[in-house]
Amino acid sequence: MDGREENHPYQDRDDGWAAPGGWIAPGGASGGGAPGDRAAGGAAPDGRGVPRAPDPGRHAPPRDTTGAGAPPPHGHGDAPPAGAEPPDAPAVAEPREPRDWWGGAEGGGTAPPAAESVRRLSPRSMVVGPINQLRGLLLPIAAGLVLGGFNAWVLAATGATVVALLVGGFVTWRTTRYQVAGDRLEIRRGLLHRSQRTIPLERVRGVDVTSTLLHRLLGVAVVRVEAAAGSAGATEDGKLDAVETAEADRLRRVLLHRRAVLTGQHAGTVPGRDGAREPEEGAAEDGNGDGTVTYFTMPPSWYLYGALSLGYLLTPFAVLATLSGMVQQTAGERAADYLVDWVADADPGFLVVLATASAVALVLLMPVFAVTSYAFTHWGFTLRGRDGSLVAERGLFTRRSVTLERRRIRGYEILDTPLERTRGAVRLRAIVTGLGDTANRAVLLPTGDRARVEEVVDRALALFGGRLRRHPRAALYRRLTRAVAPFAAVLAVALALDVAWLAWAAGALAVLGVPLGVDRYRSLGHGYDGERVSVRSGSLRREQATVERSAVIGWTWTQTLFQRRSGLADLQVTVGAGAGGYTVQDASLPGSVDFAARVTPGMVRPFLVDSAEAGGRVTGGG
Amino acid sequence: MGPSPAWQRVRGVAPPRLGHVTNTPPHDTAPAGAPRSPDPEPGETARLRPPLRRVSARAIGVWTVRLLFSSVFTLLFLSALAWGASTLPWAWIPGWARENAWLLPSAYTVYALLKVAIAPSWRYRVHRWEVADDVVYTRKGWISRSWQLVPVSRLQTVDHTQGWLERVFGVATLEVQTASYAGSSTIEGLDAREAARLSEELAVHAGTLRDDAT
Repeated sequence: MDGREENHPYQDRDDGWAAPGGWIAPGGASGGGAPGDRAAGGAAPDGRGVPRAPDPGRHAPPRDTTGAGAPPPHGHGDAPPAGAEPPDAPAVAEPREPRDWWGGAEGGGTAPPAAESVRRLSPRSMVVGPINQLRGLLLPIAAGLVLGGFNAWVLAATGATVVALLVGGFVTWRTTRYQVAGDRLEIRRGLLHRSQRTIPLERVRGVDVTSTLLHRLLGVAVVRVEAAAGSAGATEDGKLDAVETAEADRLRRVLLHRRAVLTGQHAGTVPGRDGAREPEEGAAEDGNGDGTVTYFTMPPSWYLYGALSLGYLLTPFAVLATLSGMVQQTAGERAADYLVDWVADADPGFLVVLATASAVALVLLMPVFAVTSYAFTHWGFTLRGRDGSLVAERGLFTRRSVTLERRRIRGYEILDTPLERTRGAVRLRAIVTGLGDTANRAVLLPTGDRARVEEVVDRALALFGGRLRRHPRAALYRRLTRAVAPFAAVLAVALALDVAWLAWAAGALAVLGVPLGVDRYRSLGHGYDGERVSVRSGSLRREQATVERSAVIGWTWTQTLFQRRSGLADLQVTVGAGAGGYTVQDASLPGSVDFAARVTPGMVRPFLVDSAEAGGRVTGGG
Repeated sequence: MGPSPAWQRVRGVAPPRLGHVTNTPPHDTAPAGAPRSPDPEPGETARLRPPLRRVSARAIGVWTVRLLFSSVFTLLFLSALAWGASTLPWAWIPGWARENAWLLPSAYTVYALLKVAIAPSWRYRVHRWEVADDVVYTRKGWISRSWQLVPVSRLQTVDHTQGWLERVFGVATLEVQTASYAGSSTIEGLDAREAARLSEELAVHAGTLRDDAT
């Protein structure tokens, strides 16, 4: 290991702490480590996880005015001597006292910052793990049993598998240990191939607590610690499957709290993030007095919004498809033959009635199914704020809890579809740096009434307070052209080739393109309220993204030949979070330059033509 | 990093600082006036001036050769298609396709010749760059254009690459990347020595201006 590795978000120390000879080839499959992690430790393959220069003075938290100096170096580059001594002992120079660890407002039942005792997973994980693994093997085993005619060999193999899984569960429980030691979380696991993963708490991005139905029956939960890393394999950063529910909650609080202290910030006092507004303002403070603020709890009527979501509306069909697939798999040919015979024999009039009735029933059932399945996934949705994070929790059977660090939140997105717009409903997502699976994990609120959503945004984050500016008229013509022209072209070809059905279809789509184009134009807009930039576009999926000014890390204008003729340009607002960039479509070029110059004067002004010599050299450089 | 003569890559941006909270680079200094001031009506006079520096004129050579190669490949492919259509004894090929099989390759040849003659020098006139006030400002494209501003303080990596063709012509490509995939900017066709110097400078400079970079 060279010196550069020492500060990487996490290291798998295959050779640490284990008894000599206990490990398998260090380059081999690592215990639980994503393949990219190891490579990322050395040279940061894609260049994003740049290794930190070994300059201790630089990463002193800026708000740490006590002069306590740099946090203790986490993890020595060289492996500690193998033996009975735990490897962290020499490394844990405990953070010094002068640091205000538990700054006044923080009550909380959290432990002092010393190294906690080494903990184990819940004994009940011995049951959960094997059952979860068995679920994946259920089909092969059942197939083997049925096909093998329940002979002794198959039965024995099945028994052996179950026993092996149980033993595996036991070994996992015995060998997995974790410890919050000073400024890092250490997870050790493995019997033969031992590994230790160290996650510096400063790099912790979020702590997710998830529990499936099985987990909740047993009162346990899975804790997933997500660390800041550039590598793609960052999903399994630190997973504890499973610990007791209370312990999961405690662990989350401790990790996030220590992280917040290490990075020199406390809940609600992030400068420039909340502005002058206190997040507690007007919010119901929870009774337990630990600083948790509840911004939102799901009102019962909001479950009805599930009927507005196309994905949930189509559930009956998915269920039907699954059922018919299962029937075919189990009953096979005979069922199909029987069905064909039955249809052939039945009275045609009765068949028509039956078909109509089932179609009507299906259509009527669509919203019912949609609301039901939506309610399952969004049951008891709450949005809370605590320890400088937002915690969104939801779900009936699988309870999902996502913790988003406030200082990683750069803004928010409000999305709606035409169907949702009929009821004035919107969806809300956070724009977060370095977050995967944003479709699920960045969801801050369920679909709901716009006014209520905006009120929650105003309290939990900060609402965009400006007006969106319309785009030039020429943008309307461009939207219309783009919505209609492709189908018009197809229509022309179809007419030329005399294909009637294609001509009808293309014609209908071309006509539908007119309202679509108009609506797309009407949704275009961009604005700036002095602190936040907001950009809106789209019709079938309208999206309004709002980010803070400080999150803007660049601007890109693009202008095609057609846009140049009408003086328009696309302006992409580069943001190091969320989708990476949000595009102001078809704004006027001078107007968008002016817009950018007002948002980030220092970045744009040096490159503006002085108004005195403004002579149209902008596009004429070629 | 082993010596890799054909492919040189300089990585030298300072790493993220831990525990940095305020995300306020210099260009975020609040504009005059109270925060949350109402959006004033847009001034329609603001214009971007072109960046000051041109890339190396030898870049025209690189672009021409590259374009020639790709055109020749496409032409070979189209010719093979045309040959197949005109000679293979397959019944399903319609007669009009058989007769006019060579129309497509000929049309493409004309288009490619025109493009090879025009595009590289046109591109050269559009491609410009400038580093001023801690911002990398680039303009590129030929028919469609793009202008890009990337603040140096938000750079994460600075890559300096040189393909074999670029080595022949003594030019290099500089790519600066930020935390957003959309925020990376490339300057093609820089003089090789200048690219090396610039990447070094940018890397060092980014280190001194470093902030959270997102």
